[in-house]
This record gives sequence, structure tokens and C-alpha cells, in this order.
Amino acid sequence: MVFQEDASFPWLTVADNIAFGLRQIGLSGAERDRRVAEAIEMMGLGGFATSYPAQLSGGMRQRVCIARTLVMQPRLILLDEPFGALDQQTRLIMGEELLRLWRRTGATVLLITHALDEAAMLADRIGVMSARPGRILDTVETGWPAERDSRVVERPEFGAITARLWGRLRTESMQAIGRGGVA
Amino acid sequence: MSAQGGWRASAMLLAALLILWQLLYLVIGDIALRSPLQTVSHLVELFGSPRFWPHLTETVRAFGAAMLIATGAGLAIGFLLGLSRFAAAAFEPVLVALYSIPKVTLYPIVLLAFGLGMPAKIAFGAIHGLIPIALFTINGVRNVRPVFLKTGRVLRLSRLQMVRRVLLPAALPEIFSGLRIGFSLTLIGTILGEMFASQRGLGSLLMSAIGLHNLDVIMSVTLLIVAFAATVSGVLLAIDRRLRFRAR
Amino acid sequence: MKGALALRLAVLAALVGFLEALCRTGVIGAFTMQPPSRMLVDLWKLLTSGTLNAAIVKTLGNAGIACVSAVLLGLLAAVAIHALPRLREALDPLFATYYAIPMFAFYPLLIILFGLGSLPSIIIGFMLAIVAVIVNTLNGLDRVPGVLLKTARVVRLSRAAIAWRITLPFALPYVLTGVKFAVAYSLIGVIGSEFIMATDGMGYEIAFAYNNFDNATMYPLILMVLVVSIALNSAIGAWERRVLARRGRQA
Repeated sequence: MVFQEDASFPWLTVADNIAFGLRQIGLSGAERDRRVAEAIEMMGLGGFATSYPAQLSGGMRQRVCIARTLVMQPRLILLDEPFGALDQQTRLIMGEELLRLWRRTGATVLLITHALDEAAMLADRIGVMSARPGRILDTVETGWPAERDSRVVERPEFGAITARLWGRLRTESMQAIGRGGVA
Repeated sequence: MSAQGGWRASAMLLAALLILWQLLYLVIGDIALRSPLQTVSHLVELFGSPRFWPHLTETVRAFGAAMLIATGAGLAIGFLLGLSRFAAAAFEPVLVALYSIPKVTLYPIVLLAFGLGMPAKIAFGAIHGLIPIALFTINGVRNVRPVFLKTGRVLRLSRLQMVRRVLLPAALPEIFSGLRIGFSLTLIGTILGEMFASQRGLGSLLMSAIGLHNLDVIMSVTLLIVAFAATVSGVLLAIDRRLRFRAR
Repeated sequence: MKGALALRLAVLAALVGFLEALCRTGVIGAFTMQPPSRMLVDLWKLLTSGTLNAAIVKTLGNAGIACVSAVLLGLLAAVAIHALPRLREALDPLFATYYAIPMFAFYPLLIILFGLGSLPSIIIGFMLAIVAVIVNTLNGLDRVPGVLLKTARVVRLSRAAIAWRITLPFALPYVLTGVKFAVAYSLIGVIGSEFIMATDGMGYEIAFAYNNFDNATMYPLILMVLVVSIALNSAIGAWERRVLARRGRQA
């Protein structure tokens, strides 16, 4: 699971952070090192294995957290607004990386986000949730090809999808903020 | 401030203090002061004298034991209260109140309880150091970011592993600051105890020297204590800074 | 948390009760400790008889002198140091290791220099208190957000006006923290010194009573010192918290 805040352990190096969960599983030292090296390469953290999180940017720290999750070879990956603390452009790039990871590991990825464009770009299927109590208001199938990247934003379907999402969410959001809305 | 800047500033400060000391000596004279050089040479003499060492070892042993007790008990109390919000709400204010009182006034009670001698001295030192260690540990443990604990749970760590691999390292910078302050206060407590009620130890040496107007001993022993405290504290401070840099 | 308060009071009451029982049944001998109830009675008798009023006034007076001078000089020093960053850099290691040094170790030297009067104990109290004031005031001055000062310049306030209307009010809670320490430290310094060696004052009276096996005087005095220091500390702490609470999470 990857959290919204940076959960990298500041007292461990990048490599030790990534290897953190592996101690439980009882792998050999060699296998551990192999997985860690692979995760570092996958997340583009090459050259930073011995650095500390304090020396990295926010985006890179989040990558360390993702790497830490990946290295456990999970079949299901949960991400709770993992890019919320990053600026918009970094977010889009990170989204691309996430897609690449998804294709390479074949895991099922469940991503929670407030960002309409992020949902529209990354997902095969989007569940739109209401305010409390949370119900699924709508399910949108995006129909993108698996080999996609952030340039799907150029496609006309992208606008249609985000419009549909916002159409669902606008009233909900206004009510949540306390303005009430005209449907 | 860079590390080298820090060293330079300390060196300059030390030089300035020495110069100030020498000037004061020139102004006040032998009647009430000794020069830095005289003090250091007398200190060397003391180290050569067989009568000095029993006092030194007495203080060192008392301080060492007090430090062990203060650290052990302080960490234990700190962890217990840090892990339980309720217990902390109940008892932390007591610790805070105890921290602010002149613990010197409790000495007679300690003496009556332990009698004159080593146990009383160790108790003096320990009660000084224990409270800040406990308070800082409580804070350190309490302020561990919840996301670290969540990560541990997601990775299915046992409770022992959680404490060892997540809680302890995360709380370490704060705990270490507590240990640093505990060190200084335990030293003060031990010396103070010796000054008030003991026949042996550096503190008592200082007190007996007042009656004899033995300026050389007063200045040398004071210098020894201050130099020891400042040096160790400086080292601990440097470690503290390294820990904090890594922590954020 | 009401439950926590109840637990705390219950435990404290139980401890005191336990102590009372131990003393009254003789498990703790009369030479070692009085029953707490007796301490309170003796304290009342002491205060009303007025025999120790001189000592009380002396100690509190000396501590007051040490505290006030430490606060005033500390504030001035902090403002000056804050304005001179090079000086501050030079003094930084001193402030960092200052409280590690056992100030009481200087007491014998001060007695030689100034004789056995009030001055050495006041000086110790002052020395302990002043750096706390300086460090906390510097902290407060540091924390004035740049954006407030920029606002002041936009409105074209004079430097004096900025200091009075923006910097001072903003730094106030931190200055109060320093004052809280100064009060505690000057009391600790003065009483501690009187304890070690003095001719009068509360610390001296406690030591005197101890040496003369006069538990009836000693324990009430100790109790009084404890109550006074806790009360002062709590009072200033409450004021400090009120000022901080008005700020919400900004501070």
C-alpha cells in the first residue's frame, strides 16, 4: 500500500527502505539484493541507493515508497492519493511511470484520487464515489489501450470522460462544501 | 551553519573566554583568582597526587551509576507513557511539575532515606536526570508519524518488530536529546550532592577548599568539572545534530 | 480528559495516604519523615508564628532580583544579538552547551570573590536564568514570519513601530517561555546556593533544620518551596498557553 504522505523511513537509506518488508518473507540475501536492485531500476532511482530520503525530492521519496511496495511482488497494489503532495507536472510523469509498472508487474492496481484527469488517464475502470456515506455513483469504462501514456489527454475521448466524471461529481462536491446545487 | 563554521566559532569562543579570564586575573590578582596557566598546572599536579584520585573515582562511580539508573528508568517510563495516550494524560503533568521544582530541596529527604554515602549520591544524580529523559522519550514515542506505524502494519510486522524497527529509530532523535540533557543534569545532581553532604568526591573537595581558602584547588577542580561537562556535551550535541539532519 | 485527571488525583492521593499510613504506624521512623498531615499543621504554625518570615523574604527577594535582572538584561542582549548575525554565530556554541555546565561548581569561587552574602547566590540564579531568556527570546524573534514584516513595510511603519506593534506581540509567547524558565532557574539557583553554603535564606534554613534533626521545621519548609515553585510555574505556563491558544495553530 502506498500512502498519501511520504512514508519513507528517514533513518534508512533508499536501498534499506526498499528492502524493509523483505526481511519478513525469509528470502536469501542474494534474492533480496536482486529484487531491490530491480525495483530501483524500475522506479528510476539508480545512483541513489545509498542516499537518505532527506536528500531526495518529494517525488523521489514517493518513488521509494512505491518501490518498497513493489518489491513484495504483490498481486494487488493500493495507492491512496499517492501523488497528492506533488506538483501537477510531476504528477503526470509519475502517472506514466505507474502505468509502465503496471504493465511490467501485471498486478491489479487500485488508485484513489481526487484528480479527475489522473483518474481518466490512468484507469481502465473508474468508480465515482459519493460523499459520506460513500456509495459508488457511477462506473466508467475508459477503454484505453494498455500501451498508453499521459498523451491520452490529447484524445477527444479524454474530454468526454472527464466531463462525465465532473457531471457526476459537481453536485456532490458543492453539497459537501455546503453550497447546495442546482442539478 | 556548516560543521566547520561550528568548530571555528567554538574555537574563537574558547579563545575569547581564556583571554577574558587572563584579563580578570590581571585585574583582580592572586588574592581571589588564578590565571589559566596556573590553574592548568595545578590541575596536572593534582592528577599526580595520590590523595586526589580517590575523590575522582568516587565522583566517577557515583555519576556512572546515577546515569545508568536515570537512563534505564527514564526510558522505561518514557516508553510506557508514550505508548499509552491515557497514561500520558494522567501522569505526564506530574513529571512536568517535578521537572520545575528545585530538586535540591529534596536532598534532605534523600539523605534521610538513604543515609550519608554513595547510595544517596547516586540517588541525587538519578532524580535529576530521570525526568528529562522520561519527558523527551514520551514526546519522541508519541510523535512518531502515524504513517510509519501504518506502513509497519501493512507489512505485517509483529509488535516487537514494530517497536524495534520502526518506533525506536523514529523516536531516536528526540530520545537522544533527552539523554543529552539527562547527562548534564545527572552530572549537576551528582556534584551538587557531593557539595552538600559528602566527605569524598570532587564536590566535597570544592567545599572543603572554601574553608581553607585554597584557591588553587577550587579553580582546578572547577575547571576540570566544567571542561568535562562542556566537552562531552559538545560531542553529544554534534551527534544530536547528525540524527536530526537525517530525520528530516 | 476527565478520566485522566481523576486517575492522576486518585494515584497521588493514594500515594500520600500510603505515606501517611507508613509514617503513623512507625514503618518510617519519626526521625526520617513526618506524616504528611503533620507537615501541613507544622507549615501552618510556621507561617503564622512568623519566625521564618525573614528567611522567606530573603530568598524570594534574592530570587526576584536575579530573575528580574536576568529577564531585562536577557531581553536587551537577545535583541542586540538578533541584530548582529555574526555575533550570534560566535555565541551559538556557548548557548548550546551552557546548561550542560554545572553552574553550582562556580559557587565556591564566587564566595571567595564576594564573601558569604547574598551576592554569590544572586549571581548563580542570574547566570542560570539569563541564557534561558536569551535563547527563547531569540527563538521568538526568529519566528516572526517574513510576510508580516513585508506587510509592515508596505504600510510604511517606522522601525520603532514595527518593533513595538509587530515583533514584540508576535514574539511574546516565546518570551514568556523564557520568563517561565527564568523564574524557575533563579529560584533553583538561589535556593541551591543557600543550601550548599549560606548564612540565611530558605535553603539555609532547610539545611540548618536538617543538620539539627529538626524535621518539624524542615519538612514544612520543603513543602512550601515545592508548592511555591509549582504554583509559579503553572501560573506562567497557563498564561503562556492562553496566549498561544489565541493564535490557534499558527504559532
